[in-house]
Amino acid sequence: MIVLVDPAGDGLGLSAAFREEGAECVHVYSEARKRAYDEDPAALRVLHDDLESTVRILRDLGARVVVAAHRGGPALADELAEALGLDHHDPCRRAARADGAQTLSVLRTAGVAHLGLRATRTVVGLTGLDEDEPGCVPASLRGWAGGDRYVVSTVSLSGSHLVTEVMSARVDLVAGVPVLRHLLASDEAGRREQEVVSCALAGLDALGVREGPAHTEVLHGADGPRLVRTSSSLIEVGRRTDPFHAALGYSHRYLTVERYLRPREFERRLGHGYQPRAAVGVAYLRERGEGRRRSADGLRSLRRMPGFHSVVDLPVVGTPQVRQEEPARQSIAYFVHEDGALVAHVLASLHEIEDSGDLVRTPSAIR
Amino acid sequence: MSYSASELPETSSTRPDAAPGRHVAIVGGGPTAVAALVQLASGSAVQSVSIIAPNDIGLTPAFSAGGSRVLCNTSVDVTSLSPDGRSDLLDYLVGRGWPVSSTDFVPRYLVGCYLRERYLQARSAMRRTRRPVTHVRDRVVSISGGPGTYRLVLAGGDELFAGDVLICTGGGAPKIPEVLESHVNSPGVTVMPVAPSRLHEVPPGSRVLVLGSKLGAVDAALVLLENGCVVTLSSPSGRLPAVRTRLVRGRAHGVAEQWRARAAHLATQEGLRHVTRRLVRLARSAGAGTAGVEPARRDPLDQLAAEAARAAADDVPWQDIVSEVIDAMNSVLPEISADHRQRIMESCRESVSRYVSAIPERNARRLVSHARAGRLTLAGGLARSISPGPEGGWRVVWADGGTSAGFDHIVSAVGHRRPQHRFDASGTIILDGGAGQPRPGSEAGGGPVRVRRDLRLDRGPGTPAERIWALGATAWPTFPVVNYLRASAQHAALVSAQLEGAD
Repeated sequence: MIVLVDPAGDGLGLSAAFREEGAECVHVYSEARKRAYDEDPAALRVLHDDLESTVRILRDLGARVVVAAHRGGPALADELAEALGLDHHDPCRRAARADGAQTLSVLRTAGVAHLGLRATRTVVGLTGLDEDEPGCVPASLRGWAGGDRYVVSTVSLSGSHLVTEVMSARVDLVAGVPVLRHLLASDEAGRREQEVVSCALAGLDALGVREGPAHTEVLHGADGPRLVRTSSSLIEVGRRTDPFHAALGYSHRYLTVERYLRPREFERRLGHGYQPRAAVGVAYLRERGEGRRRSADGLRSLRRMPGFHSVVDLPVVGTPQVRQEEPARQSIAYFVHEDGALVAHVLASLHEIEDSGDLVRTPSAIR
Repeated sequence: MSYSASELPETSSTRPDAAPGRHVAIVGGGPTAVAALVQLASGSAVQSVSIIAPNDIGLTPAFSAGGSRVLCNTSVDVTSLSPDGRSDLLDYLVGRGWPVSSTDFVPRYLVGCYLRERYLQARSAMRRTRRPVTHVRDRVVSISGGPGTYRLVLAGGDELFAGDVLICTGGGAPKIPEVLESHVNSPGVTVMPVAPSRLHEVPPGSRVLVLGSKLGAVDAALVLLENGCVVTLSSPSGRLPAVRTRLVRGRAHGVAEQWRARAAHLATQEGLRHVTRRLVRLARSAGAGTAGVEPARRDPLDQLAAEAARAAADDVPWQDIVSEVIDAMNSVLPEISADHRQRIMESCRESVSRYVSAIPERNARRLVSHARAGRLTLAGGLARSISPGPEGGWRVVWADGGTSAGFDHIVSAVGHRRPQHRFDASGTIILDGGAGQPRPGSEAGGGPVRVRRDLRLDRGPGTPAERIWALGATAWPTFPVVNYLRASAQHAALVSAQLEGAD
C-alpha cells in the first residue's frame, strides 16, 4: 500500500501511475486540503486529524511507503513515515526540512549557498498549479532580477539521487509582478547547469532527503548558484508527462513509481547520470488584451513550430480570456526537440506572438 | 553526475587541431556560416570542420525571435541556402505545414528556425560520413601562418589549426551616431540589433526617438509602435525605404551581360545614365509601360502611403528586376577595378538603399496606419545634441533651427560598421570586432585585407592568394550587396567548388 500525502494536482496523476502498475494507494489529506479530500473520488482516502488515528488506519491498510505527492505534503509525510517506521528521509533533519530558519542554519553549516529568508516566489509557485502559493501576486522582486532560475528534479533511493530534469525558467517582470513564461529542460548540460545541480544535490544531502521525489530551485547569478528552496515532493510544472517521456524516456512521476515498485531497475539508472537525449520546453501561454476571446488563430503558428508536441487546456473562443492573475487557467504548450537551442528560439518567438496579442485575439487586442 | 560525450562538442572547450585530410575552420556562426557548412556537407573534399562562434549556430539577431509581425524584406524565393533551383526555404516551410509561396515575406524567426535546422542536418550528414563538425564557442582574434597550416588565435586564449579558413563573420559592430556616443550605456538607450523582447521593455506610451530610417529602424519602430509607444524616426536621408510585395527571381533579361559588355564605361556619368535608362526601360516593359516608381514627395510619410497604396494594387513592376540587378551587381562589379566599383556604388547608393532594401507592403501599411493615428512621425532634421532631460528621459536639440523635443527613450538603429579585417606588419590577419582590434604598434606595414573575385583574401598586388575566403558580409566591398542570404549561398557554393576542385 502506497501512502500519498496531499495528492493534489499532479499528485493524483502519481496515484494513477501507481495504480497503472498494479499498486494500491491511499490518499491522506491534511486538514488544510479538506476541499481536495471532499472532491477526491478515490475509495481509499483519509482526512488527517490526529497522528495516532491516521497511523492506525495506515498500519491496518498495510502501508509500506509514504510519498509526499504535493509540495504541501512533506511535513506530514515525514511525520507519518517516522511513526510508521518506514524508510524515508533522515528523521534527524525533519525540523530542518520543515522550518525555514532551521533550513538556512543547516545549509549554512553544510556550506551550501542559499538565497536566505527573503520573501521570494518560487518558479513552481508561479505556475499557479500550487494551491499553497497562489500563482500571481505582487512579490519581492529580489531573487528574480539577480540571476537565472533553475529547477532540479530528483528521485532518490537510500540517499543516492538521480537527477531527472534540469530546467531553466524564464520569468518576466510584468508591471512589477513575476510572470513565468516557460521552463526549458535542455539537451545540454554545460558548466552552469553542473554548478546548479551540484548546489541542489548538496542541499538534498544537507537536509537529509534520502527517498523518493524532490525538486530544488536554484538561483544562478554573478556570485554563482544559490539554493532557493528544496521540497521533498513530486514536482508540478505542467499537466502532462508525455512530452517528458518523448524527450527523455521517463518522467518525474513514473520514475517515482519505478523507484518504489521496481527499486532494482531504478538502481541501475544511478550509474548512468543525467544524459538528456532531447530538450523539453513547457510554455505557459499568456494572453494579451481584454474581453472575450474572438479567436485563437495564433495556435496555427504554434503548431507548426519545430518541436511542437502538444497544448493542454486550449483557449476556448467566446470565453473570457485568462488574465495574468490566473496562471492556473493558462494553456500550456509543450515542445520536444533534440536541439535545445532551437527550442529556446521557438519559445522566445512564441512569447513574442503572445505579447503582440496574436495568439489569442480579443476585441481590444492590438492588431 | 555524467554527461553524454556526444553532446560535449557544442559546449566544451574542446580545441581540435588540424585533422588529417582537409580541415576547414569556419569563423562565425550566422547564416553565411550555415550556408558554407551546407555546401561543404554536400561535397566530399572536406574531412572535418570547426566552427568558431560564440552564439548558437544559425541563431543570430537578424533572424532572432520576433513573433509573427517582424518580417523578412526578401521573399522566400531568395531567402534560401540553395543559390539555384527551387527555394530551399520554401521546401522547409512546406515541410512544416506552412501554406506558403515563393513570393511571401515570412517572419524572421522562421528563417532562424530554418537556418538552425539546416545546420543540424548538415552537421549530422557530415558526422554520418565520419567527418566531424565541432562548434567552438569562442571568437577568432587573429589568423597567422600560411595555406594548409593556418593558426587561429581565439579570444579565450586557445588556438586551433586549419588547412583552410572561411571567414563568415557577418556585419561589423553597430554604428553609433556621434551625438549618442556618450550615452550608449545609459538606461533609456537601446542600440540595435537587440531581440524584440528588449524593445518590449520600453513602457507603452513612451515617446521614443529612433535614430535611422532604413530597414532596421523601421523594424524597431514597428515593434515599439505596436507595443503602444509613440515613435519619431530621424535620419540623415530623411527618407524611408521603398515598398514592395515580393523579391523573387524572374525571367533573366541579360542585365549582367549588358553591363559586362560596357564594363569599361560603367563608372562614367554617361555609363551610369545608360545603365539607369536601361533599367527603367526594363521595369517599364515588365509593367506594361510603367515602372511603378512613385514620384518623389516632400513628406516621406506621404511618399510611404502612396507607395503602400501602389503596392497594395500590385502595381510595382520595378520590383521584378531587383533580384536580377542584385545578381548583376554581385557578378559584374567584382570584375572591375576597386576605384570604379567605389565610384559606381557612391553614385547609386541612395537608389540601392531605397529599392534593394525596400520594405514589405504589409509593414508599410502598418507604418502608414500608425502615422495617420499620430503615433509615428519623421523628424524634420537631425539631432544636434542629446542630453539627459531635467525630469528624466532625453532632451534632443535638432540641428536645423535649434528647436528641441523631449523623449523617454532613444533607439539607435543606423546600421553596422563594415567589418575591417586587416593584416599587421608580421602578416597576421587581425579580425575585426571584440578583441580583434589592432594591437598597438601593429599598424605599420600592414593594411586592409582584400577580397578577390573568387572570394580569396590577398594582401595586395603581387602577393599570393591565401587559402582564406571571405563570405557574406565580409566579402564587401568587392561584392556590393551582401546582406542577402542568396548572396551568402552563392558565396558558399563558389568556395565549395574551389575546395572540391583543389588538390
